[in-house]
Amino acid sequence: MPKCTINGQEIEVDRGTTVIQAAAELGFDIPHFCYHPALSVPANCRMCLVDVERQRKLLPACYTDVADGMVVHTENERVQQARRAVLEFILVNHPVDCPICDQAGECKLQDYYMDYDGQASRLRTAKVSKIKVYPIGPEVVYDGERCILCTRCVRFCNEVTGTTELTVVERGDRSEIRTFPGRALDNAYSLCTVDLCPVGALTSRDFRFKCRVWLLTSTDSICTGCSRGCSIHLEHHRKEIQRYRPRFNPEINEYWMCDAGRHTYKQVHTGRLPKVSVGGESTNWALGAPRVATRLSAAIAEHGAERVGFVLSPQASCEDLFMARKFAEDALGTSRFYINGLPDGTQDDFLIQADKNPNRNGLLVMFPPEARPASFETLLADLEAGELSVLYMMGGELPVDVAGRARFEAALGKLDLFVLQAPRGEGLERLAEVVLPTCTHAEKEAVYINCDGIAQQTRKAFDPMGDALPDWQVFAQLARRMSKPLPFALLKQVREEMFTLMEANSARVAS
Amino acid sequence: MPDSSLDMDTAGIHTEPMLLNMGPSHPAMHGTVRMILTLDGETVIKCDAEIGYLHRGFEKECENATWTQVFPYTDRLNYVSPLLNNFGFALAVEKLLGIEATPRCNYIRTIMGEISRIGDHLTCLGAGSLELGGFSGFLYAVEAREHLYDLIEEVTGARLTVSYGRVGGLKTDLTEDFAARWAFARERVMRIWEDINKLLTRNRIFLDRMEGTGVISQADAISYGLTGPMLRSTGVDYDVRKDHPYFAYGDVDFDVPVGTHGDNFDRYQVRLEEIKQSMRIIDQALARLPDGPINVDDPRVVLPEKERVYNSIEGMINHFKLVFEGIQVPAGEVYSYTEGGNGELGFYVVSNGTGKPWKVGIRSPSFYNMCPIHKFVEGGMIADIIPTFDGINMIGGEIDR
Amino acid sequence: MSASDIKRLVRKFKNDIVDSSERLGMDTALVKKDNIVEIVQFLKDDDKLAYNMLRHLTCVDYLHREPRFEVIYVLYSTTNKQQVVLKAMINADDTTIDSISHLYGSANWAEREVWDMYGIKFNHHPNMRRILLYEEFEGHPLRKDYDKQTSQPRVQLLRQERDAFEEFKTYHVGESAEGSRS
Repeated sequence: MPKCTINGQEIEVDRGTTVIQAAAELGFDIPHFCYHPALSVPANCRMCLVDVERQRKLLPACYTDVADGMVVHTENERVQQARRAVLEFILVNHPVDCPICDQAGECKLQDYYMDYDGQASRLRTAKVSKIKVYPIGPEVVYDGERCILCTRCVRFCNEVTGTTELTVVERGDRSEIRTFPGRALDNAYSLCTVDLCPVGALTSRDFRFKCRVWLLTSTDSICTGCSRGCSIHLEHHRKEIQRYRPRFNPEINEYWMCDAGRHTYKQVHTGRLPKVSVGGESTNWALGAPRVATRLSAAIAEHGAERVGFVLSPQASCEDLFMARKFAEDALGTSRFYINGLPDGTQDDFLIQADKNPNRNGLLVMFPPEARPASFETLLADLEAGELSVLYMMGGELPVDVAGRARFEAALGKLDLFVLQAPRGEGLERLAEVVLPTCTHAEKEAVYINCDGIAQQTRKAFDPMGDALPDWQVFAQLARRMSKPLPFALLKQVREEMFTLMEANSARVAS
Repeated sequence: MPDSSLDMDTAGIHTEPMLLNMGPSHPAMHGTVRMILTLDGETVIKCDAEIGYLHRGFEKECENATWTQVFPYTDRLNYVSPLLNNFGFALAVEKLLGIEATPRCNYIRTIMGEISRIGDHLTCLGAGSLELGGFSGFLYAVEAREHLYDLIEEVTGARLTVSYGRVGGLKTDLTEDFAARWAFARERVMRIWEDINKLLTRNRIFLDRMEGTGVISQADAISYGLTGPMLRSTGVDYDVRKDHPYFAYGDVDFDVPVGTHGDNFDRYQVRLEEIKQSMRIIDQALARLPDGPINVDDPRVVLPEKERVYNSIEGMINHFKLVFEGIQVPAGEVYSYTEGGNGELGFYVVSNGTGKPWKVGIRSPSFYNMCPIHKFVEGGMIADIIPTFDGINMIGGEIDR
Repeated sequence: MSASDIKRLVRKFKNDIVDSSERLGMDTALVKKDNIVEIVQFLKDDDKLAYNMLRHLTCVDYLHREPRFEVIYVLYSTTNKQQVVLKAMINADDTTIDSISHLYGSANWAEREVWDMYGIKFNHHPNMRRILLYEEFEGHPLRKDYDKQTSQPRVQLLRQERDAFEEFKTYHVGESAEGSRS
């Protein structure tokens, strides 16, 4: 266990720890461009040079392992001069692009220049011009002049995704990043290179010129694109999500996130159900909820509770599903549960899961293992056999193809009452007698359980669109109006009961 | 039932105090102040001043603005002497940063500040004359002020909302012909000063209305936190420029006029004399104006020149970060005070280490000058409120922020 | 010289003074709020210290920190030309402090402003009401958790005018003004 002294403070670290990691443990930030904790260390940017006593030259902190008795200075005059020199070299051919560069505001060059440099330019000749706005991949745009050739993107494609698309071409001050001939940067994680790039050389086409970074508010949330549930920073401006950025989570996604998941932010703002609708006419919760309750009670009284089907969505959060089950059993009196959700898709061996619903595990753990809800196929069969008169469906996503959807829509004709409660209608709202709009994960605090059984929580980023409410609140309202109130008013109460139930059910699964 | 102690005329006539509202919209109310007066005939029994009609929420807005974006807010505090406010705030932030402005900058700040002060006093004297019925005095004063506005406009680009000060320096340097223009303006302002002096200082009507009205004792003045010409008219010799010199005030000679009676006429005379002293300061400062840069040579505080911004990435980054994130001022707090037009203008600035202030608290002299308004007014006649109010020179923007 | 004043203060009020410092030219003492009147009185009445002017009274809201508020008293001596700053700590759950308006006339309005903007109530203040904002205003704007986007209730003008008239009628004549206005 080597011991070293950094800026006068001693620290003991494991063998193999580099100076930059040891300094970070002590709280000293050493500036760096090419170093990334998840990638190999090339030590080519030279920004992390530190002064180690009894060494003639400055050593790169990212590459130098801590040796016993090492004394390191990270803030003395030699190091400051080195940093100024390195920045001067990097900036000498850097284009004056800040006003049009997406990275402005989160650009390491800008930050380090203000913190460690500050000298005026000494350049008296023209800057080297390179390619700009080069479509290096379907999602990513490359700007050669801004690139500082830290090779983080190259190493990412080599080591993390294994697809080896990128390389450095040309030599000297004409070097640029390119793909190998005939290839494009089209792996499923190509936008991670945009996160990695410390400057604005690699930018996202989707986010290009959309919003300035300092206007964004960052909320901790979860990607709902598949059951992996990568942790994200949900970044929004004026109640509109501008992008997703992966959040470091060592248990689930580390630093990465797939491109498809990044695009799912658009679903929060498109295709949303705007208002409560009863019998085809728009209304609001105050007027509509009593009508819905009356209609439901009448339908159940007429046909009987055993002819009521309740469809749970694995897109909904744990609180929603818990309250859904309580509502269905206590207020509606049924226990015919089905599952809908998105159909399966592609899977890879890294992050992407075939199950494109974020909370299937959360749904299943609401039920004891012997009483799991039935599949969508069973629902179709039951509908076509005429066994149901009332269908209460959460979520408009159906796990079937176009033919299956047509079957479903046709079979809806046999129902007396079809209630759709979802954030996005997916076209089913025109067939539903009652439409109840609910919130997406961005608009509520919700717990989701991913494919490995890890529970995560989203935070509320902004208020719901239109009249949407969280599902669990909708159930509480309707139950109250149906004179069968559920004993939950606050999210805290819902969660307490919910976690108890979940523990009980998972214990039974384990045993 | 009639209260006999209040019967003015023959016994048996029912009298009642009258409630008069000198409302916020009143020609004699400098800025917007509402005074609810209880009158017994002409005598004021009780005065309840209500302020806040010009409250614009500066201090809250400053918490969302970068340090440089606070300067337009400071312009609109004491809007008749905006340069003094600018420089007061710049001084506060420079104290937090631990930097000293350059010598040339200090002298220019002194000069421009004093020009603003002359403008402030001229406005006050002119308005005083106007509200007592002497319209000519007002026109003279405003004409003199116009010469000063011309001067300020040449240098800063605006008459009132100048935003001339910057953290670490100024927006631009003085114009080449500033000395000549000052000589021109000075001569005219001095002539008008003489005219005002001849018109008002020994004017029977003016003396009758100003002498003996709006009296406050020294002890009361200090207790109520009065500063500036208000305090000096009672005989307390306290001027921030002399007692705690800043900018170039330590290098120039000037006297601080001090009154004796603490009434309106003393305030008038103090202001009149201060104009002359300000001119003395400006003359001396101009004569000794050092050469050199006006801005501190620190890229983390001062914006680079536009050529460097457009043509080099370093200048671009520098400009970009300073404008969008603001000057990174180390965490701390400071109470920095200067002599504003009406008294001690203080800025209690708290920084949390980022580019935006955590709090900008403004100690406005007009606010504290207005605290003892009931002392001035109660017991006097309603007509005495007018000269008293002129003497206080309450600027609505400063009192309410 | 005011550093030695702080030392005298610390010696006399050992228990109340939490911290004292001298930074950026400001001699500051961080005090507990319980005996603030005594401390200020001592500074004012002492012959050598003679802090006879309350230069400024304001408050700072450090959200997410205990104590959340600090009421700042900037005291000045016109005879010695010295300044001292007292900072009284106020917790978020008990936003009251004793008033010093009987010591300094300027504290009357200054404390009203702190109440208006920050919601710190000053005990024994003769006139604890809003000064810059109107009475029906809800909330305390300079607090860090004040939401700028809210809308505020409108002024009930007639009620205010009526109240003022009734107040003065009782003040002078000593009889109620009920029914004096139809």
